[in-house]
Amino acid sequence: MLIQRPEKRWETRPLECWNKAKELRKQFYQKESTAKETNTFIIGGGDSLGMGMMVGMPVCHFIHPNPLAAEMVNASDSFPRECRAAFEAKGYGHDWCGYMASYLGSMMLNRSFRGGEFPRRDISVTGNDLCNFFFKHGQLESEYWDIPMHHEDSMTYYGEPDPERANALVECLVAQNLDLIEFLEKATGKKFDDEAYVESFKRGRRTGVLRAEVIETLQNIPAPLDEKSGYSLFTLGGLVGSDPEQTEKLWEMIRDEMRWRAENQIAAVATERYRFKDGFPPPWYCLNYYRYMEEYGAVCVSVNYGGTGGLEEQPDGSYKLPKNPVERFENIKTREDAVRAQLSGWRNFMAGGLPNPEGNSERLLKWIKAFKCDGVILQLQRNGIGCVDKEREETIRMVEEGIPVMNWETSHAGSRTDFDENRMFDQLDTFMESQGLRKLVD
Amino acid sequence: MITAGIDVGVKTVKIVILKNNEIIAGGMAPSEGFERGKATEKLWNNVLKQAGLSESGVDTIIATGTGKTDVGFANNNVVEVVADVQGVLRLFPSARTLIDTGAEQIRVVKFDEMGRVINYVLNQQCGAGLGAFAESMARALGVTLEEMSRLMLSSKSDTTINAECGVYASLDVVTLIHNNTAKADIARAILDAIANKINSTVNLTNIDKPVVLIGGVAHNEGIVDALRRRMGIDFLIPQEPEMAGALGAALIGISEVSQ
Amino acid sequence: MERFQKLLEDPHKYAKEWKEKTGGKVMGYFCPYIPEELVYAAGALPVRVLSEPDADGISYRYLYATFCPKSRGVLAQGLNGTYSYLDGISHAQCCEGMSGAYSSWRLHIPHEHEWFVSMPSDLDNPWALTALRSEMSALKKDLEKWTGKTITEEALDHAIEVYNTSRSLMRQVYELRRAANPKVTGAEAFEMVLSSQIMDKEEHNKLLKDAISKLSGREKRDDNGVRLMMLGSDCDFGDATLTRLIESMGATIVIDRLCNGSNYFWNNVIPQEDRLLAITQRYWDKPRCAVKDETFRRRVVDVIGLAIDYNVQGVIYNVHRFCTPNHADRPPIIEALKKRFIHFHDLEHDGTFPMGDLQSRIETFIDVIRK
Repeated sequence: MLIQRPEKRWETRPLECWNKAKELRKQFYQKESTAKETNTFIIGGGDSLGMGMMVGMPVCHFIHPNPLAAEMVNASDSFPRECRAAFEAKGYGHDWCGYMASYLGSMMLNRSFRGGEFPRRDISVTGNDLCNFFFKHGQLESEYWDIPMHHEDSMTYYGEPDPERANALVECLVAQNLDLIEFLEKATGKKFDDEAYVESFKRGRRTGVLRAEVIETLQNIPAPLDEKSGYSLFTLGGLVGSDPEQTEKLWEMIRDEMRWRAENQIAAVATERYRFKDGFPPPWYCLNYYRYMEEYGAVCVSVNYGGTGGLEEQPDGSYKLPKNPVERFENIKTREDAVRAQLSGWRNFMAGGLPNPEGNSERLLKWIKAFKCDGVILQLQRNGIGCVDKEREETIRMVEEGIPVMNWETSHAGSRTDFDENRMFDQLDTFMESQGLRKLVD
Repeated sequence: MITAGIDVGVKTVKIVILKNNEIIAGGMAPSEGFERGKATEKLWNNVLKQAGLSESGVDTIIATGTGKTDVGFANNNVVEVVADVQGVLRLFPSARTLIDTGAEQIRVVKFDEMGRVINYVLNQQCGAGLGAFAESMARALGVTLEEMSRLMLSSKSDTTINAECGVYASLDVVTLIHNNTAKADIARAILDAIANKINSTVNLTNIDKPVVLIGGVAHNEGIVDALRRRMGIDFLIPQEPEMAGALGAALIGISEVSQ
Repeated sequence: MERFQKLLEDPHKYAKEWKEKTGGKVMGYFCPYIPEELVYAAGALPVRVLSEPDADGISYRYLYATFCPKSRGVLAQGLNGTYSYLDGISHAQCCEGMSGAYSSWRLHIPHEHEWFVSMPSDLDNPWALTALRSEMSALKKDLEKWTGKTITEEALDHAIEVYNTSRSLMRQVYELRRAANPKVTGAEAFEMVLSSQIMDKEEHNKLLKDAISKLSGREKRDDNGVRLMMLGSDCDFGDATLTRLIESMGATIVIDRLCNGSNYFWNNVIPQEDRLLAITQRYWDKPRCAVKDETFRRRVVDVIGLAIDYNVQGVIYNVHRFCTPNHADRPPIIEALKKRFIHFHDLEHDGTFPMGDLQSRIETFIDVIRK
């Protein structure tokens, strides 16, 4: 039928945790803007354990380029485009990761998207070489500011898990991360506070459990939280490091609210009738695509920054928190204990290799089942190859499993020069209508 | 019951009118770019006249195609994929995959006997303009697209050009021209590249036979021949391959009115 | 010299015949960070998987369009059965293009054995060196299991010797190119090094020695044209087409820093008691490619040093479309070249070489240098 009306309307409510989340985020920005006055070292860098270590060095403030660039492109079309142009004018290729190109371009223009100058970085820390650009950008940043740089590898291999082999690789990562602490002491002239770090690590684990409990609720119909809102929340405490104690409290609040919403059937999308998972990273400049899908009664239940971290797969295919999720971390006493514990997750991940299309496809299928998804939307990034290294394989796997799947092409996190919004929305229409779904009318 | 389907494509508008499930009138005309609204109305009036009808005599009008939302007088619209499937199934009930190749887009759709879409894929952006590229290359060779197709069939050369990017493909053609390569061989290389691109798009998903070829490119013998060779498939091709979308839209109109 | 070109005309012939003759196993590798000496010492034949343009576009099913043509070409050849004679495949952590090709290859193309070297990126880091050394131990055990052959110290010594000889001979060839009128062209030198990557080096060494001895008697050419250097992505779709084209227009490629060119053989294994450490150190100390020069930057100094040593007048920075590491590394290299008034020209290509376009660009470039 071409005219489709909602068969059911769930109750919806705004998120109560929203204001608290905004407050924490604001706190994070304030630390950056007052860095000079407070003699705070600003550390630029990619994802690494180092971010968690900043608690042991309160004089440091870590800024991850990805969420910064995401905010940039969300806030404006023209400014990231200028940044990309400035970056490419220096001779860097168009196929650079859009996050890094926007971030580095902003640095080269010496303009912050929030106004004023681009805050100078004092130290560059890059790690977790998940892609060539993560690593490379630290070198550019370090050379640009003439600042010290530290780097950690990411070791992976393919094949069956091999404890002996994994141990040797993990030892390298442990050593590199412990070295990072000494490096920060040298770079800042301050002592690292081991006690604070260990305490923060444990708190981080507890926060991780809270986040996992939130993700658990997303298996509920209706979903209490949608992806778009999830993005704002899930970066907090992860890529956007704020006060750990307040972050833990926020996550308690979010967990309690999501549980309540799930128990009381409070939906993120009132007309939910279709659930989908999408890929990563999202089109930060076009997050209204999630709202567009809501016109079909479709809700995205990915929460890509959360994954299923901490949840265990159950025999019925659902995901639940394991028993005693935090107790095993109570014996963490020293900085080395904490680093090793933080790397324990990597130990499991590393055997799949990078990229790991097979593992990712399997996880995706399990996720679809557990979170009761009806379809999958996987974006193909036209730059930033590290973000498109498995999407085609996942797509083929979905086709083979008979799961509705759609690809669309996007400019990776940066300006919209390679992106045609009309085309994309046309493709979304095609995807939904090909499944017999039309936009809902009242 | 009288229903109409209007398919507003990038290059052409197509209209089909059904009466009691039988085609009673149809037509095709250039879309005229910015003037596609007017072009559609003009064709609509002509086809109505052909059918001996007034607009009020039509129970429902369903639009499809890239310009579907420009048809202000349509009662509703559907996406091309859905319309194409219905049209193709009507023409070839045993079909299970369609390949629709238009000026700017390639669509590959696998469906079941009830017309439910099982999976589909669209061409990716790289190489997206190959239809338009072929036309511009035909002009560069000083021939029409149809002549290029006939030329191609007389060539046995295995010269290839880039099938991934229109820019690189153009550079390759320039090289061939400067090397005084025979026109027929260049024509073959160009049309083969288009067939290559279509095949790559098909390869992005899984298909089932029989396979129907629709859209303007299905008229081009050279491309169809190249595609046949590449894919090893004998396609079913309707007499009027561009009309499948409009037919499908009109058929969807029937189900709408019936419900 | 034609022998080397002939070997590349059918790059699979040698390995297939070797397999039939010896009954041995052939391991294809995607990245030259694979410790070939270990594979060789195990009695297997390591061969580099060369790329051909994916003319039929079959790789797009698994790799999106923004993977470089080389990675797609490699996967396509696996998918179309060109490399069906490989018993094993091997890769090292390097660029995402080739890693994507490898991860899809291992999923879709039947193979008996696979090995992935966790090659660190922080090549200034002592713990990463230790980690790589441990990878060598793990690889050795794995190879022994696969081939059923114990890798003895003698076998390792022999492998090191064969490979060192190959590298030293290629260095000799490259040394000849320093001369004002080099007796060996860039295309010939490139074919020599490329052909060494698809056959038993012990045999190839004989060809090299013979060729080098004959080179001394070669007539000097009157005009070798301008002296150029090649940088950038692998300069191959399995042959020296591009190099020949450039050299046909009044230039000689006197040196390169390409992954499948000078980078492949530049440094030797320095023997030591711990053979695996010696091999580790050799790969650790290789001239850095674009993917592995990510900490303290060494590549710029290396490239400029070579340009000075070889009296280079111009550099062709040739990059595959979507070759992200070389696009990432380009600006500081170009800046350094500018400071030394060394001309440079960017070339970019996809699966095909647009010869007409290339010709006019290169002609102009050479002309500018001459003037």
